[in-house]
Amino acid sequence: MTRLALAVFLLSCAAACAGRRPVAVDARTSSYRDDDRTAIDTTAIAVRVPVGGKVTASGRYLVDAVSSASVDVVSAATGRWTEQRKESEAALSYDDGTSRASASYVYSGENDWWSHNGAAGASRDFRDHQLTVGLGAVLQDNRVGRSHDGTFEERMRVAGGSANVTVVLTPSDLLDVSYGLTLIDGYQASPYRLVRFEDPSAPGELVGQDESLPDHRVRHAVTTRWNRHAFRDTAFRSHVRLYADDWGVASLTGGTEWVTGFAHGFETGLSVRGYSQTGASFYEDTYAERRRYMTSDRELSRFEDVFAGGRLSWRRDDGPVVRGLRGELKLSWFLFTFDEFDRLPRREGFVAEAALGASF
Amino acid sequence: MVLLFALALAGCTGARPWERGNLAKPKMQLAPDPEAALLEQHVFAYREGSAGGYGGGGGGCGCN
Repeated sequence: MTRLALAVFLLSCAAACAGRRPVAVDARTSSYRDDDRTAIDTTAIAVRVPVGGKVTASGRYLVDAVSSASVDVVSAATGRWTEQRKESEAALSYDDGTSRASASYVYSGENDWWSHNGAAGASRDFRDHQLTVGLGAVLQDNRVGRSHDGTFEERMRVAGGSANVTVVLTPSDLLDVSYGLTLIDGYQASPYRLVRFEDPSAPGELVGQDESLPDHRVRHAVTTRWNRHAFRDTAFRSHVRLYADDWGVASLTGGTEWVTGFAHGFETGLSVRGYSQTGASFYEDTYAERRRYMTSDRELSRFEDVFAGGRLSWRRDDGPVVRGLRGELKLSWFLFTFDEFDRLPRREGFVAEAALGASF
Repeated sequence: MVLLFALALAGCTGARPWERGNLAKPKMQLAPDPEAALLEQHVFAYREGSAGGYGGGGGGCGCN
């Protein structure tokens, strides 16, 4: 009788556990290397815990380790610099199958930058789940410092909003169109970057001067994403983004990923992404005369880049105790060509990633 | 304008409930792996002059 009761108890537990949503843990590490002597290693771990039937609590911890001797931030006396950035996130999300809502808080800090970030979003399905409308908002408060200079302190605030519409076009096609608006107010220069300026008292010689950027920036982005299912288990995931801001930067981004599923939970993806941008209206590689706004940030110059790579993923979702296991290896090559930055006409490198996750 | 365009599309096509098997696959989701998307957009925001349009999150940084 005791053995029978124990067996019933264990079977009841198994049935109850099979009905609850799983706890998920995912870890991912990424390594960026380029021939401009910059290395970035990023590691993130995320946990998702169901709270009741429709609410999920999640947390994430991320560490960036950056080491760089890049040509545009290295002075004769600086050499290579290294720093570490740590980021923590807590979030709550709700999903009842038709409506979804989420709220999150992120704190990030490094030796000269501290940031508080709050975001919220909501979406709802219409027309029998064939149309989804979503809205999002973000507020960010940043404090900017300078290494070895306790008197330097600036602030930068960001406010943003987004709207998106997702439509089921056919049994094999999903289309999403989104618009994002970002308003930035405050210090947006780098306290370490010097602008190259021709010295009128010494023709042919260049002197350095601190950057001076506008205190305000308005950014617009319109993105279209199209997922198409083909053959037995293949998907083409494509995207196009148009971007423009009031600093004069305009860009076009486009890319696609070819994803194919194989037996035993394996999946491969091949991707390519291209990007082209104009320079900010006040950007020049070397300034002939002092101007109100001057920058030497190559990311504000005219340039193009391309990323191409592949990934191998594996997942299994029917384990008895560990209900799900997943892993991924990813490698991407990239090339940047700078049309208005003589110190670095091109930059080439790679990004390698590895990920592991489990659900209980 | 974006919303009106998408609503017009929604009125023209779609998929009946029993035709949505392929749409439910993870590879057909807009954000099948939020952690991968976060790290990917982090690289692009760090190295390009544009930002936004792909959702996601993350905090601020002195990345430029």
